[in-house]
Amino acid sequence: MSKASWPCPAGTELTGGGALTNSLNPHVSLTDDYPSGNAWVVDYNNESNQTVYMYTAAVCSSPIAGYAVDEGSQLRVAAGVGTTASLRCPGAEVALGGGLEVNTLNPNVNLGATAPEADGLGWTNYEVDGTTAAAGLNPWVLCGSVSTASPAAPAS
Amino acid sequence: MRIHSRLIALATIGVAACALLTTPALASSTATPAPSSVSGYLVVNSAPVDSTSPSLAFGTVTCPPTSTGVAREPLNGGVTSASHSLLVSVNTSCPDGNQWVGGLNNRSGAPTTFTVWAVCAIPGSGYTQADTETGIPPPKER
Repeated sequence: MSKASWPCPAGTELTGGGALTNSLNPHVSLTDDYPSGNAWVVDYNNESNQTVYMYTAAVCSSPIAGYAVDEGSQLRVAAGVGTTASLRCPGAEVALGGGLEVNTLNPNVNLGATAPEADGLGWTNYEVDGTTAAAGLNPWVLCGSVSTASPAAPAS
Repeated sequence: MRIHSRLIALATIGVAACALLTTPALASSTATPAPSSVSGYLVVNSAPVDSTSPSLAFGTVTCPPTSTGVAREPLNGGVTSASHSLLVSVNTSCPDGNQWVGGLNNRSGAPTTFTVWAVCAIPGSGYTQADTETGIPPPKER
């Protein structure tokens, strides 16, 4: 498993991130995908027979009111199954981004899904464990306040 | 060289760059703006994307402008799959301009579908998408 991260510029806040590789091999998978401080972190499993290159992206913004990065309690993903790990934002805040951190190096533990909840109030992940051992995982969500004011039309 | 090799790879798979290969900006000498609430917030998702087995398939979802024509950009995004197979996994989840790109590995032996998601908003003044490149050797070389 290989880890990479990329930080946001000074004066900005992390809202999300992700990764891409240059490989079409379906044996190259994301293990996890999550915030750490002001950087975005990913881990890839490369079970192909070639070196591949991953491109780790961070999405950053000027400071956001109510900004918070929350980590959920650790869950166990049992061997041989998939486990859902979700985290909601507190109060009326919305999910800007989110992800999942896994504590195993086993290449048969992979990210099955990571996405915002449809109502925008949380983030849900699904981790698959194709091993004979359980693994620990922590969901993350990045939250902020949303404006209900109508945005101005662009200048013509 | 890095940009060239990546563009070849991305042209091969038919999707655009994750984000322009950039270096984080140096700290600005101007004051950091006061925090502001997110405007134009919207969660969007793609139509279901077909995934055969074995394959790596890609899909995208675009952040739409607001009803008054103000552009939105993705704050984050992701991928969900209709399959719960242990052999279906996320390969790609990354920004590309006003889109989010998702890629799904399917080694389950059965077709499935997946959906690409994005959290969209009107970008603040400091909005950036930046990325870096890292090599991952195959197992026998680690």
